[in-house]
Amino acid sequence: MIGYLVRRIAQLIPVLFIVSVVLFLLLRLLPGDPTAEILGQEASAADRAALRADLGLDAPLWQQFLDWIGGVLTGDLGRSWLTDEPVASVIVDRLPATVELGLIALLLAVAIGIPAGVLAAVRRRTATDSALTGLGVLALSTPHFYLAALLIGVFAIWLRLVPPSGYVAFTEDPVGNLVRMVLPAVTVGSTVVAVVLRQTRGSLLAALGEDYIRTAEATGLRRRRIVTVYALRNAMVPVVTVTALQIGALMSATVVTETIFTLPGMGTLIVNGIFSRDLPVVQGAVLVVVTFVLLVNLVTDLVYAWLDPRITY
Amino acid sequence: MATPSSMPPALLSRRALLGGAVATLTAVGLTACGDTGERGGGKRGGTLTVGFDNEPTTLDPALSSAISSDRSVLNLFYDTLLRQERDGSFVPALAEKWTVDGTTVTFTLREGVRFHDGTPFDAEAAAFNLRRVIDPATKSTKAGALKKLAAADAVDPRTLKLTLRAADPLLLVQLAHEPGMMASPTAVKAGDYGRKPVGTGPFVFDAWRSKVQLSGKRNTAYWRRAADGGALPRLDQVVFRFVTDTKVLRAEVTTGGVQLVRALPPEEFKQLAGNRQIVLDDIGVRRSYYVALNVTRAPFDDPKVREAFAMAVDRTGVGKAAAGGEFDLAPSFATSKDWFYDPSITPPPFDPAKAKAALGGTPVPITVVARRRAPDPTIAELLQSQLTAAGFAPKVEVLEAQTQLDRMRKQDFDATLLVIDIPRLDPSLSFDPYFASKGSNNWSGLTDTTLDGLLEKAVGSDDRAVRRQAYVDVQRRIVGENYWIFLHQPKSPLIHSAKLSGIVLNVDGQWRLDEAELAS
Amino acid sequence: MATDTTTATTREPRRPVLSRLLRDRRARFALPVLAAVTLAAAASPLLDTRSRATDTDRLLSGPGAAHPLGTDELGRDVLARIVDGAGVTVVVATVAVGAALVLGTLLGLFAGYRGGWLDALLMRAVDGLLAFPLLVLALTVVAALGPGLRNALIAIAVVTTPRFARVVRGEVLSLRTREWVSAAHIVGVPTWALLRRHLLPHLAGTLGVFAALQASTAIIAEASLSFLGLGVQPPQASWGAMVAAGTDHLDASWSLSVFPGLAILLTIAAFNLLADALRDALDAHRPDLDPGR
Repeated sequence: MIGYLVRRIAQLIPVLFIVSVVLFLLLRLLPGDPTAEILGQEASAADRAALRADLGLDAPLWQQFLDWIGGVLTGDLGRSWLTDEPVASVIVDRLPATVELGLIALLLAVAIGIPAGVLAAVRRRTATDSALTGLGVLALSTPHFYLAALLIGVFAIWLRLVPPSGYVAFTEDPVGNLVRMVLPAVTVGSTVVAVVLRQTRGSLLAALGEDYIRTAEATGLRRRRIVTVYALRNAMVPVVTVTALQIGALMSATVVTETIFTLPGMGTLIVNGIFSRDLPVVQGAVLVVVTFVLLVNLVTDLVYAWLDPRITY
Repeated sequence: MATPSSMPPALLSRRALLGGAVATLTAVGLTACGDTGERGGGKRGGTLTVGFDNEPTTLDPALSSAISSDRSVLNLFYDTLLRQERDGSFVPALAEKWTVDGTTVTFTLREGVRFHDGTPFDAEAAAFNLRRVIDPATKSTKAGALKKLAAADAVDPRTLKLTLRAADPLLLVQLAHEPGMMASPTAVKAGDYGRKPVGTGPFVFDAWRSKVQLSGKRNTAYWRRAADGGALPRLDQVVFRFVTDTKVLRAEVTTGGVQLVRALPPEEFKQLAGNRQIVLDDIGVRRSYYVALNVTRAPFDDPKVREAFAMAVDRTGVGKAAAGGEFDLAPSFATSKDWFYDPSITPPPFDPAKAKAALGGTPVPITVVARRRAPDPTIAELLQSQLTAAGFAPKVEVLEAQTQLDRMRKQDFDATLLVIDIPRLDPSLSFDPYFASKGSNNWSGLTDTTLDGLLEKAVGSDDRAVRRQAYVDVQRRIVGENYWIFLHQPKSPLIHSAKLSGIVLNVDGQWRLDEAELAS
Repeated sequence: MATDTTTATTREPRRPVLSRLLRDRRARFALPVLAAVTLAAAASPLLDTRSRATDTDRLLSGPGAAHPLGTDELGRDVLARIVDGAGVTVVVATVAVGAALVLGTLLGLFAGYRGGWLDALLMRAVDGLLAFPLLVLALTVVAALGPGLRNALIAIAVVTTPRFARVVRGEVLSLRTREWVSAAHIVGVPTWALLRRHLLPHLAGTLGVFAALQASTAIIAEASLSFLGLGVQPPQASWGAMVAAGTDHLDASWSLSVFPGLAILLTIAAFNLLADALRDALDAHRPDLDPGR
């Protein structure tokens, strides 16, 4: 187990290295001149050249990369080209909205997905099962931007129950914050709900087919107790794993969702950064996101290995 | 903060208006010890939250970008030597009086004014700011505006002398805006100034979180008084929230989350009409959409093809699709209220059949570049359809702002779709950069000596009648040659809560909020 | 985590799989939908061009007799635009996913069969690419290459290829240890012949299911890119861009975003259901193939 742990962590390093190389090179391919955005359209060519030198854009590519990676290793993500703020502090500013969105979405997914999955499994091959499974496919098949548009149309524009978009910090106005978070969280959570539902149903059905459940049934234990205590407990391991592995998908969902609802999170930071060519911000933000995804995957694998003694390494 | 002191308001207001040294000193001493001066009327206190779509990149006026909306923010923190009223006249501000004598301009400064950090505002500080703008090492974006300024010297602490290379009819206009904003020399020298502004203005910088918000608190020692003698500013605090999405801005102003909004597009502000909590005030500001044709290469080096383009475009249709009817049609960068407006200048009428005939049968391939920001792509798409119908073979590229600018600078396009806010402070600021051969934004690549001559004539005089005639000729030339096709001009009203009053506007519609007040 | 029960499919003759598939309710929904999308894509050049012309006198009209699904913000017929947009979807599902399938399969076979340091290197690269949230990587690729359908296709192929590579490699590894494979090897069957004759048919089922799932992911990715304005460029119609235009005019017209979105939804649902049905028809406990986005 310890060996496995060390090996998994050691594997992370080349992956992170490749991630940073890919990220760096891709972003250097971006067309357009960042100095135009920074200085405005009426700046002279000389000003722009001077700024290029200031930003270190004149140095050879490998040196720019080494500078950046050296900074990252010492905890310095550089400064925004556009606002000159430290990238790390910009990211810290943007994390709360994304983390909150992700957490509420996950909470919704678990609170709805697991009971629905259990219900579908218990009522297997009934209308309830078909309806729930059908809803799951529907949720999986609805692009986030479409769901967001529908939700805004119905709840914000037609019924006028919530504002169509915008953000207030939780610390400033908790109620206003939560009201504005409902639609985005439902949007992001929709696919996770579906994944949790499918996985719960699937693994519960598998667990109900195992020998020890049959034995339990034979000994006359009540079905509800069998389902909730024995089968569900064992079925939960893959559910937790699959949910945790949704983290990457969750991040993709937040990118689109934050853009539509104009939440000041990591997603809008990345999208706006790409649009305005603020490369240090995009590099820093994507690197943080990817590292986070990798760490969650690692922890999931480790927890899984620890929970499931059948797996040997 | 709140030690009431009594001072006859009439005396105070008179002195403040006269701007005498003693009175100003007294006023400063008075406001410094508390917010009084209530009797002048005007409700005091409250926090004004503004929804703002165009976040500045720096609060250093010498480095601020060309976007005039930055001034609505900078006006919170900075004063200028003199102010320009909406009618174009000048009134005293940090300078009590001034004399212009050919190439020498002398300012007598108000006494006793201090920057927010306590640094005294004197002639040396004023000279420091102007020298900083013209110093090439500063790389100031405003250097061009003061290009005729040769030297700025402090004769004595209250007297500032400017020496010009040549008479400059626009100098006072420039000094009344960003190029003349006074920043604390102490703070500027301390570094990282763009994010920690220190001026003498009505509000003291408080905090700025990028893409989120910026705030200023009341300057309790502000030198300026209201006309009725009341202390200024009236508000306790102003918060600019940066929201780029226009739907959100509209929602926020509807729900009262913000009380003042900059520039909503027609499809959004139309929905606010009839809401009695909200005031829509058409202050004459327009967004002027235009297509600039690249005359440096085929096919638009040919005046006939340019004319065909002009005839191919249905400007009313573009306005309907992009501005939902809330627009004007004007021949150029002039609004119907501008002094250089002339309704007799007209582009060729919409006539796709005639355009097609002029092009002679084979579709003429052209590349149209546009910016990825609503509603520009929609307009581009509509133009594409109209141009196709008139015998062009247009290819539309929707680009990010910087990419589009790059392409335009390299003259790598045939037609480009863009917009500017009008009016600007002076027509020379809207025409010269775009149409002079050496203009910084001469997208079309014009080298038209006739046009250059007219533009020069227009800035060579103080006489408005002469200038007007010159600008009318300028516009006639541009439209007659079809260098540019001016599309529709969507309205851009001032939108604010009915509780908010006292917003003072610059010539180009940017705000001053020192006299603003919020009813409870 | 993969369980070794795949042997069943290889012994099964092909026919029953197909007939089982055709009897599946999900497939009976999915196949006609996909056929309709393909048909629309093929038929769109035949459509009357007048319905696609802009007309500023009929902006944003709701569904009616002349325009069954209404008109858009430039007065074009929404139904005609949806039919036009089908072409993009078909191209994404075939070209982008097809390229990823071929490339990913080759990489996966190579890495899985060859093993050693090359395998390790390739798989670290795959891990690196898979660590990016799909849309973030696609966004970065498109931002680097510039917007447009071709670049969106490249971006989608880039983000999808490592997924195929990993699945194929996993299958190869689990198969390689099988006795009959080692036996064939010992008997002297050349490597490529072995791959072609034994491994690839074995993989076909897995790849079919996986490709259907990836097609749905790819369509969502293209629609999302177009929604953000980085995919298909106007005036070419794309369902994602149509929904984006619709969200800009939600107050004026409910129908403009609803119908193109419905087209995306049905197509993606069809691919998802087809994948489910195919998996059940193959009747194998496959490794977890749920699509991440």
